[in-house]
This record gives sequence, C-alpha cells and structure tokens, in this order.
Amino acid sequence: MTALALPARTRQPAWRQLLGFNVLTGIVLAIIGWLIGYWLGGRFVNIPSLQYYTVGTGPGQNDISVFLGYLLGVIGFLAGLGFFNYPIKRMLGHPPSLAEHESAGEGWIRYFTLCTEHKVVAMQYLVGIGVFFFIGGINAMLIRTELLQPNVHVFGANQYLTLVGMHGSMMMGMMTSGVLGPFANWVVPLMIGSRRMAFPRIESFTFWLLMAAGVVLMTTVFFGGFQTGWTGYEPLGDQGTAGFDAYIAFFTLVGISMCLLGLNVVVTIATMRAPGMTWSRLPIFVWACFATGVLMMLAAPMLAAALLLAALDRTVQTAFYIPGNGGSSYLWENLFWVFGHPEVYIVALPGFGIVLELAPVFCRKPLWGYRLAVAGMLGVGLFSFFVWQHHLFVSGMNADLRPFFMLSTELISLPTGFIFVCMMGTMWRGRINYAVPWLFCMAWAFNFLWGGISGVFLSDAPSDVTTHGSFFSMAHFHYTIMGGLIFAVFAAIYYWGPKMTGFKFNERLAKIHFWTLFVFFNTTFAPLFALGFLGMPRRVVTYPANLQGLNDWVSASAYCILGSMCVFLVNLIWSMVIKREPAEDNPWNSKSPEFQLPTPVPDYDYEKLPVFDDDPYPYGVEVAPAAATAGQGA
Amino acid sequence: MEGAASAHRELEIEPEPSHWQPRATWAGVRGFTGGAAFFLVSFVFAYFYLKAQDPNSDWKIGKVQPGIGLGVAILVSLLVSAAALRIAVQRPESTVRSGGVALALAFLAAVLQVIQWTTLGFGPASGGYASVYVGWTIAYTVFVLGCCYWIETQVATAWRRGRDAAARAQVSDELVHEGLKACSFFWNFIVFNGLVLFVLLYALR
Repeated sequence: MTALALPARTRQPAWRQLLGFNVLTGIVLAIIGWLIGYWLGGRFVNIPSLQYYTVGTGPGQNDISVFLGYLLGVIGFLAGLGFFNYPIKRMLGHPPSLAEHESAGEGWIRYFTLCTEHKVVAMQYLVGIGVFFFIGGINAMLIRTELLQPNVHVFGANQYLTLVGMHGSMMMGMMTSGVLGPFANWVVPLMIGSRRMAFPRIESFTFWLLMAAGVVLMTTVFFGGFQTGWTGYEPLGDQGTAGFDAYIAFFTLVGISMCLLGLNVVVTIATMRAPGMTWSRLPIFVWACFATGVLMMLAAPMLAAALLLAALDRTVQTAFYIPGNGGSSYLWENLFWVFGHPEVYIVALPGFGIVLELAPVFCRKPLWGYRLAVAGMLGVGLFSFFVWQHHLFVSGMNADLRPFFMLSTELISLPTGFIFVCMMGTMWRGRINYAVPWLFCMAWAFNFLWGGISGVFLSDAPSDVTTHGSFFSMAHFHYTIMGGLIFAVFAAIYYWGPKMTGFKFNERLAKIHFWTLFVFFNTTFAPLFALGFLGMPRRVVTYPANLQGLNDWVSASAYCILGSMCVFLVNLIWSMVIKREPAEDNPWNSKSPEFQLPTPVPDYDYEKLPVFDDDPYPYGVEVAPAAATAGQGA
Repeated sequence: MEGAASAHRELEIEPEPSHWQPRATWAGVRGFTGGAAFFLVSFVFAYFYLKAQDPNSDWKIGKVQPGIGLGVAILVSLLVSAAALRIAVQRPESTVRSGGVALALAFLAAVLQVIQWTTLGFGPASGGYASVYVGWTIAYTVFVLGCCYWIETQVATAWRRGRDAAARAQVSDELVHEGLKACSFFWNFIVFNGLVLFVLLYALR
C-alpha cells in the first residue's frame, strides 16, 4: 500500500464561493425549475394524444403542473448543489472517483454545499433536522392552542387538520433520519475504524434531498393543505386539494432519502470495518444502526411505490385507490402500513442503540447481554414486517386474520423486552454517573415502558376497538416516539455533542432542560390516555365541553415543553456561540474509539487505520485498554 | 484553519485497504436490489389485491388488451440486452461492443413501451388492470432508463480506458470490473422483473 496524501484544498474568495455550486445556487435553480415544471404541466393537458391520461385534470386544479413543478424544482436544487457534475463526468467515461470534492474550499461554506466529509454531513443533518423539528413543534403548539376551547376559535377545521397533518408528517418524515443522519454518519465510521461512509456522495445526497422534502411539505399551505393526517388515507387523499400533492412529494423524497441512507449505513458497516472489528465486536450502537438501515432500505421503497400510485391517480387518472373504477382504498392502507409499522421501529431502534451504548459508559460496567441485545434489535427488525394489519383491526379486515396479527404484534414485545433487560442488567450494581446524557437514557426507559404497555391495548383486537383512533393511541405513540426517540436523541446530543462540535455544554442549563422536559412531557401526554378513554377522537377540532379542563391542562403543559426546548436553544447558543469552552478529548472517560481521537476530530479521522483487539466495552476491568489500540489521530 | 490545512498536506495518511470499495460496490448493489425488489413487488401486490377484491367486476372495463406483439418485442429486447451485458462482464475485451448492444436494446425496450402507451386503446381509468398496467409499466420504464444510464457509464468508462493510458492508471481494473458486474447484476434483476411483468400483464391478462 502506498501512502495517500490528502488533496490540498484551495480557498477561494467569498464572492466566488457564493457563485459556485452551493445551496444559494440550488435555491435559484429550484425556483426556475418549479416555474418551468408548472408551465409544462399546463401545456401537457392540452396535448390531444395524451387525452387518456389527462382527461380528469382541469384549469382549477392541475396536479400535473404541481407535480412537475416539484420534480423540476428538486432537480434544479440538486443541480445547483452540483449533484449532477459527477454523473455527467461518468457518462463521459471518467473513472469512478472518491477524491473529488464538488465544493472547493473549506470553512463554513462546506456546510452549505455538497460535501463528502462524513462529519460535515452529520452536522448538516443535525442542524437541518433540528430546524424542521422546531417547525413541527410549532405546529404542535398551534394545535394545542386550537384545543384550548371545545369549539372552533382560532383556525377553521381544514386549517386545523392541515396543522395536524404537517406536524405528523414533519415529525415522522424527518425524525426517521434523526439518529442515522447526524449520529450514524458521524460516529459509525469512527467506531468501525473507517474514515468515511461507503458512498459519500449518496450520504450528502440523502441530506439535501431531505431538506428539499421539508420545504416541499411546507408549500402545502399555498395549495389548500391536506386533511388526511400523516397517514394520507385514501380516498380522502384523492379527494383533497393540490395540497395533498405536497404530501405525496414530501414523503416520496423522504422515502428515497431513507432508503439510500439505510443502504449506505448497512454497506459501510458490512464492508468497511478495520482489522479486528469483527461482527461480535461491533459497538451496540453500530448494531442498532445496522438493523435500522436494513429496515429503511427495504421498507421505504414500499412507501415510495404507494405514493407513486397515489400520484398517478391524481395525475394520469389511474384508479388504484378509487373504488368505483376497480381500485380499493384498502390497497393504500396495506401498502402504507407495510412501510408504516417498520417505520415505527426505524424510529425506535436507534434509540435502543443509544441507550445501550451509553449504559456501560455511565455505569462503568461491560454491557450486560451483548448478544441478547443484538438478537433483540434484529428480532424487532424482522418482526416489524409482520404486524402491519393491526392498524386495520377496525377497518373491516377479515376477522380470521386478526388473531395472527394480534399475536405477532404482541410477540414483538419480546425482543423489545430484551433491550430493557440488557439496560437493567448493565445498571445492576454499576457505579452510575448521573450525568445529563444518562438522565435522558433513564427517562427514555420510563417513557418507553409506558409507551410499550399502552401498546398492548392497541395490539389486542378487542380493546383496540374502543381505543383505536382516539387520543389514547395518540398518547401511546407520543410516549414511544417522543418519549423514546427524542429523549434518546438528546442523550446523544449531550454525549457526542461536545466531541462533534468541540465545545462543552453548560451543565446547569442542560439539567434544567432535562428535568423540565421530563416533567412536562409526562404532564402533557399522560392525560391524553384519559382523554382517549373518555372518548375524545383524534383529528377532530371540536370536543365535548366536559373535556375542556383536561385539554387546557395538556395545552399549558405543552407550552412548558416549548419553554424547555427554549432552554436547550439558549444552552446551545451560549455554549457553542458565546462562551465556546473547549471540550476535553474524552469527557466521559469512554473507551469507545471516537473518544480516543483528539477534539475536534481531524478531517482524516485516523492517520493510521486502527486495529481492534478487544471487546467494545471493557469497563470495570483493571487497566483495561481502549477498544482501538492503534490509529489515533496526530 | 489555513495552518491546519497546510499541516494536512504534510501528513502521510495510510490509505484504506484496496478491497474495501469493490466490496462496498458488491454489497451496495445487492442492498439496492433488495430495496428495488420491495418497490416493484408493490405492483405485484396491487395486481393480485385488486384482481382478488374486484367487488364490482371492474377489473377490466371494456376491451382492455395491450398489444401482445409489442409486449413480446419489449421482452425480447430486454432478455437479449441482459445477455449482451453478461457477455461484456465475462469478456472484458468486448465490454464496449457487447455493452453497446446491451445499451441499445435496453433503450429500444423503453422506446417500444412508449409506443405501446400511445397505441393502447384503453385508458388508465379502465379498471384495476388498466391502472396496474399503466402504473407498473411507468415505474418499470423509469428503472429501465436508469439502467440505460448505468450501462452507458460502464461502456464509456471501458471505451476511455481503452484509449487513454492515464485513465487506466487512475483506478484499478478490479474496481472498474466490479462496477460492471454490479451493473449487470442489477440489470439482470430488472429484466427478471420485466419477465414477471410480461407474464402477469400480457400472458395471463
């Protein structure tokens, strides 16, 4: 092997960088692409030879124009970022290359370009998803504001439903990549001894596609919104305004992004492990990313296909979901939930990985039941493909199918239980350090337990009949997803954040953030179980007057969650922008490879590739070596 | 920052093992094929689901029969194209010629499908079958065109490497050949899907 010197980067003047391939150029080309697409769509409906395909579209609502606008807008955005440079060079016969940087120069401009450096992409993800998470949160506050009174008083019913749909779609769409995007891209290569992801351009592509998706979803307000919620049920979707086109385009882009992100993570883990990093030595977080990646890679295409059918129904007049013409709205429900239930575990599994990865560090013990934990994650991933029809218990499904899906759904709680057992086993007689990341992990266990227990009522067909579609089910999935994933994400932010950014968080503000979020999360969502039992349905803007007291309590608590998030934002700005106290190389005394590198981690990660010669969690062993014994950065 | 950049240039970074990228290509195309299989199987599911449900006997409304002649021509183009690309993989000296044939036939299949759409005689709203036919063939043609692009890059790379020593020196033969094998693997999968499509939409009707 010959030594490879990193290519020298040239620094260009700022004005020159602004004129190159970057997000600014992308936005300009996106607008131009949108206008061209919209205009072309208007022309298509007048072409006689396409009459079969466009007969249902009219001047009042031309979905072809809207879809073509989105399509060419996204293509323009990607072209402006430089995503077509390499494919065009490949068409001209240039050989495959990894060294090429579409974005010249370095510094802050890298964060606004197609950059193939895995740590830069991870930071792009963290900030980008954070922005859309904040927007989704604001939607939630508006929803709770409307529910302060039992009658319509701020928004109309349609606007309320659009808010509900945007909140759900934004959260479910964006948070699927909420761990793999920022943390897997940043940590996994370091943990397995690689310097990059397997396909760096695809890594960057998935991020920018996700950002385009977020913007597309927000444009729904210009076309009348959509009233279906995040599940986009047919035939309501097909009957919707052009705002539903934004929903279709959003989730299609998210699906493509998810699939490629999962593929990249899986291939990286499978093929780019440093010497000695055997499968049985993989850190548990890497296993979680692997299981999640497989789910994303396989489940997301089903969503994309289902959405393509919906788009065809709305543009070229097919009838996949239109019962009168040979279609069936249940086809959507089946295709959507074949994706949708693995999606729940796509969201949950990375949280499992974070909690189990942090457990040995903060309990100073080896991970208890490593193989059991791996089996749990793979088991959850496998079973998640066999439970989707429990979402259709009350939709008129064949009654003979109910027992199978009831049992398969309950069976999935077994591998999930493995994760809890491994966490508790690691905590048992450990020397626990109650630092903020671990506090979030313990809160995760509490919240997710309630989410899991309440899930039993929804997986049992008899009890699902009364709880389905009520605030009970909403409370359940907020306990699993927000109480599970979001708490785990904050644990990861406080754990890896100083390493990623190079700066310490303010400990006091972090603790205030934790305690307020934990308390107000529970005071917000626990009463929703009661509201569900009292008969309050989801996605209805009005409710009986006797439920106002509970609803007002929930709304007040929700505002306090917003306040808690503001504490986090203040901490972020204070720690990362104002005070900027440098973080230590290994603030948690972790034995994980990424913490053996200097802070900030250099671009090249490892000067020499590490050699792994030990289990990943040698805690509690006298003079235990770090997992990576070579290859530390300079 | 500039100081750090100049320090980077002086570092001797140990390169990653040369087998990593070919292995990643091998694994990547198989993973991508898995994802594509889940995407395309949705249309198979839609076909059987709508055909089985069909409560109002509107699986086919009116005379709904795509031309079998064009269907056969599309299938033959696809099969011969897959065989030609396979030969390109097995005989590296004929990559440009065999790959070129594979590309031309793949593109021909897409063109024939467009001709088929314009001469169908029924519309997408003519029942469940018509919807599946139009939706599936649209999605399938997008995949065929994507593969056309992929095959073209392989042919162009082989062509340039045959004429330019500098291009040959840039990347290992192993990596280039793995790329061609990956392309052929995925194209075979797509053609197999075309066979399934032909059986369900033309042969069984």
